[in-house]
Amino acid sequence: MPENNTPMLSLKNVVKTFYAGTVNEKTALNNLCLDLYPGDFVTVIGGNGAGKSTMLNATAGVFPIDGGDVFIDGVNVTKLPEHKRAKYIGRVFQDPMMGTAANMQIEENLAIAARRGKKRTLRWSITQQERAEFKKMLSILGLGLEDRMTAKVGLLSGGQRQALTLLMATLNRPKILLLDEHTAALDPKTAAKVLEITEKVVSENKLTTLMITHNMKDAIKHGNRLIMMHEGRVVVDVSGEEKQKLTVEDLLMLFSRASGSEFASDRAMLSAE
Amino acid sequence: MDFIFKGMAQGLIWALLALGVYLSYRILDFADLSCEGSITLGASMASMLLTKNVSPIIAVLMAFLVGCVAGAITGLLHTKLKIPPILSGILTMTALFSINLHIMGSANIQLNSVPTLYTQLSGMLHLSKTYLSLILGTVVCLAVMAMLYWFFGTELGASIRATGINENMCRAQGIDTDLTKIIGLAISNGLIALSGAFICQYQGYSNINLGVGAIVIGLASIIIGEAIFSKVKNFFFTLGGIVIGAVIYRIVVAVVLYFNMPTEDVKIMTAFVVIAALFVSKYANKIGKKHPAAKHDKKEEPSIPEEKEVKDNA
Amino acid sequence: MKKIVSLILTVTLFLGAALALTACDSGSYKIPVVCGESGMNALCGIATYGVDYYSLGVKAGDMTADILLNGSDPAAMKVATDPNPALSVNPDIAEDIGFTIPESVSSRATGAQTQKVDRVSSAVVSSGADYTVGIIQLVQHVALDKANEGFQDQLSVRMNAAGKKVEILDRNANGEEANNVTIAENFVSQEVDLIYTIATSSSQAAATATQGTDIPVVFNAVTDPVDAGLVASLDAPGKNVTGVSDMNPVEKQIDLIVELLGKDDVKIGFLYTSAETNSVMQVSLAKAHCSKNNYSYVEKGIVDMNDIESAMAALAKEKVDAIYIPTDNVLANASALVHSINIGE
Repeated sequence: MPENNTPMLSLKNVVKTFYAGTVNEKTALNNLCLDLYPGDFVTVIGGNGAGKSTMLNATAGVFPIDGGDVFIDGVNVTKLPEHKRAKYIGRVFQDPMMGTAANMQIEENLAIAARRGKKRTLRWSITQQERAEFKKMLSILGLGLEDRMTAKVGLLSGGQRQALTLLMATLNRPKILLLDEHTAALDPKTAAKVLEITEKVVSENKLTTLMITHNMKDAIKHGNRLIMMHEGRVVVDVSGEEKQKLTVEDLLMLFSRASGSEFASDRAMLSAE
Repeated sequence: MDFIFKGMAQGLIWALLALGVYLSYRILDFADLSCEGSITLGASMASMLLTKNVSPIIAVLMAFLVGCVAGAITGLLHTKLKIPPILSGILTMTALFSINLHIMGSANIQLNSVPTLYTQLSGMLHLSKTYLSLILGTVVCLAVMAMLYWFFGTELGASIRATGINENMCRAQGIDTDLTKIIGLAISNGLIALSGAFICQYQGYSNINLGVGAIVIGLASIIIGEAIFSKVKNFFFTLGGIVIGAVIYRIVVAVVLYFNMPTEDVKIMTAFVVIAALFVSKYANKIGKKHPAAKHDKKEEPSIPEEKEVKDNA
Repeated sequence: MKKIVSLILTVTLFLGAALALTACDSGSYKIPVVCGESGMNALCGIATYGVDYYSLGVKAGDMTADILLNGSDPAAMKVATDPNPALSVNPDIAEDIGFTIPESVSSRATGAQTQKVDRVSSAVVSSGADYTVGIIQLVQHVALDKANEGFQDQLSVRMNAAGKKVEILDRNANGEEANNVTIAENFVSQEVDLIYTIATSSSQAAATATQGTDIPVVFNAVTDPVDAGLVASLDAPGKNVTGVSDMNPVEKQIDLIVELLGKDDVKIGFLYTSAETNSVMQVSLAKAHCSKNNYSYVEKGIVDMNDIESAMAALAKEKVDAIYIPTDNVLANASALVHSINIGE
C-alpha cells in the first residue's frame, strides 16, 4: 500500500539494449516500469538474464539507458552520471570485494562513505568525532570490527566485508538501497547473519530497498513486496498479506502463468529448499 | 668515499622522479609511460627560463607546473577520449618530444654560464657542491614527502588513493573518478618534471635525451624501496623507502662505474641488488613472526577465511 | 567451365600484381649521396672530404700529452680541427647507383686512409702509473670508437717517448645522461689527472663536474664547443676545458657535390636528425653556403632510423640531384640502410 503519493523510485519505460546491431544484441530492459514507495522493501527474483542486475545498474547510473526515465524522489536523474547520483543511492554488490577498498583501513573506507554526496576538499579525511561514531556503528553489527578499525579491509572475511559495505551504503541514510544478490557469495551461515543485519538496518532507518536474491525463501521471508522479472520487465508484483502467504510452489505457478514458460533457473531451484 | 656521496646526491634528485612514478604506477594504478617526456619537459622549461635570467626558484616552480599540465593531458586523453592508459602516456610522451625541442630551441642547452640553484646557493653558503647537493636534495625530498603525506590524508587525497584501489566503489560513493585520475596524474608528472629541473642544473646542461632510461631508473628505485621497506605501515616512511631506493640505485650505478665494471653490467647489478633486497626482506620477515604476514600488494586477493573464522564472526 | 575461368582469373591477377610491383619499383632512387664523415660515406656515399675521427683522436692524444707532460694550460690551447681533410671516392657505391665519378675528382683522391699509429702497450698499465686518464664515451658507434682508439694509441706513444706510464679508465655511458654525470663525478673523486670526453653531452658533464677543481678536460667529437658552453672561444678556451672539434668542412663538401654533378644549377637534399645539434648546425652552414652560391636545396629532418625510408622518398619526389648527410649519430649507425634504400633493396 503506498504510504504517500510520490514514489521514492520510479522507473518509467526504461529500455536498455546491449550489443545493439550485432549478433549478440540483447534487450535487457524492455520498457520496464516500476514504482517504489517510501519504506518499501522489495525483493526481486527472476531467471538468468531476466534483467535484475541491469535494472539495478540502470537505477544507479552505471551506464546510460537507451530509453525511458529514472526518477528518485521526484528528481529526474536519467542524465546524471553514476557518481552524481550516488548521493541518493546506497549499493551493496554481489562480490564482497567490490564495495570496499581493500588496501585502505576500515575507518578510511567508512570516512569515504560518510562523504558520499558531499564535495571532497583539502580537509583532513577523518575526524576524531567520526571515529567515535564509526565505532558505535560497527559495534551494532556485532562482528568485532569496532576493535579493528585501523585494520586493512583486505584482511576481513567475505561476510565481514559485506557487512561493512552495507554499513557504508547506509551511513548517510540513502533514499534508495540497492542490494544485488549481496549474500550470494557467502556461505549459508554468514549469509543468514548478513541478511539479519540487513533487516535490522533497513527497518531501523526505514530505507526504501530493492534486493535481488536467488533464494526464493528469502524473497518471500524478507520485505513487504516481491517482484519477479522476466525478459526485461516485471511479470509478478505481490505485496502485503498476499506476499506473506506465498509458498515457493505458488511462485513457480505465478511465473509460468505470467510469462508462459517454465521458471528454469538451477540456482533458484536448488536454493528453494 | 667521496664518490658515494656524489652518487647519493644524484640519487636524491632522481628520487623525485621515483616518487612521481610511484604516485601514478602504485597509488593510482595507472601505467603512465610519459615520464621520459615529462622529466625532459621539466629540464627544458627550467633551462630555457634560466638562460633568460629567470630566478632558479621560479624556473623550478614553472617546471613543476608545466609537468602538471602534461600529466593532466594524459589524464584527459584517458578519461574523456577513453584511450587506454599505456597509450595515453605514450601519446603524451611522443608529443612532448617535439614540444621540448621547441621550448629549448635546439637539442641542447648549456647552463655553465647562467646562475643555477647550485651555483647560487654554493656561493651564498660557502659549501662544496657535493655537500650542498646532499643538503638541498634531502631538504627537497623531505618537503615533498611531507606535502604528499599531508595531501593523501585529506578528503581529496583519500579519494585519489581509493580510485587507484577500487574505481567502482569510488563512483558508488560519489567520487568523480575522472577528476581524481587527472589530479593524480598531474601531481605525478609535476614531480617528475621537478626532478628534471633539478637534474639539468646539477649536471650543468639540458638536452633532448635527458629522459632516456628514466622509466627504468624510476621503477628500479620503487622496487628496491618497496622490497626493503615492505613492512612499513606509515605512508611517510613508505615514501621515505622510495627515496632511499632511488639513492641505493644510484649508488649501485656509481660503484659499478667506479670499479671498472662495464656499463652494460649496470642493469644486471641492479637485478642482483633487487633480488638481494627481496631476499633480505623475506628472511627478516620469517625471523620475527610465527605466521607469514599478509602480503602488502593490493592486487592480492584478501584472505578469504576458512570455516572457523566464519563461525567466529557470523 | 567455372573452374577454368577461375583459374585464368587467378593467374591474371597474380601476373598483374607482379607487374604492378615491378613497375612500382618503390624505393630505388639511385641518388648520389655525399656524407659529412668518411666512415659513413664509405657505406653509402660516392665521395667526400673526410674528417677522420682516428686522426682527431690522435690530435687529442697529443694535446693531452702536452698538458700532462709539458704542463700546457688548457685555457690557452686553441681548439683544434682537422686542417687537411682527405678526399676519398667510392667507385663501388657509385657503380651501384649507376653514377660515374668525374676524372677530375678521382685523380685527386687520396683515400680515407687512416695513418694508424702503433700503440705502445707497455706504456698503458693498470697500476703504478705516473698519470691516470679517464675517458667518457657517450655511446658506442664507429666514429666515437675511432676517436677513442686514436687517442689511446697516440697517448701511449707520447708517454713511452717520455719514459712514463699511464693508466686509462675507459667508460661508456650507454647513451644515458645520468651515467655521463656519474662517470664524470667518479673521475673527479678518483682525482684523475685528466678527463677525455667523446661527444658533446659527455663533455658538458665533465666540464660541470670539474668546476672548482683543476682537472683538465680534453673533448672530442664536439662540433660547436662555444655553443655547448665548453669554451669561451675557439682561440682562447679560458678554463680547464679544451679539445678537438669534429667540424667537417661543410662548404668544401657542398662544393664537391657540385663538382661531381658537373653543373651549377643543382638541387641538393639535406638528410639529418633534427634532434642532433651538431647536424642542425652543419645543415645551416650548408644552407648558407648554398644560398651564397645560388644552389637550391630542400631539407628533410628525421627523428630516428624508422623515418629514413619516408624521408628519402620525399627527397626523391622533390627531384634532388644529390643528397648531403652531415656527420650525424643516428645516420652514422644507419649508413648501410641508407644505401640499401637508395638502390632499392
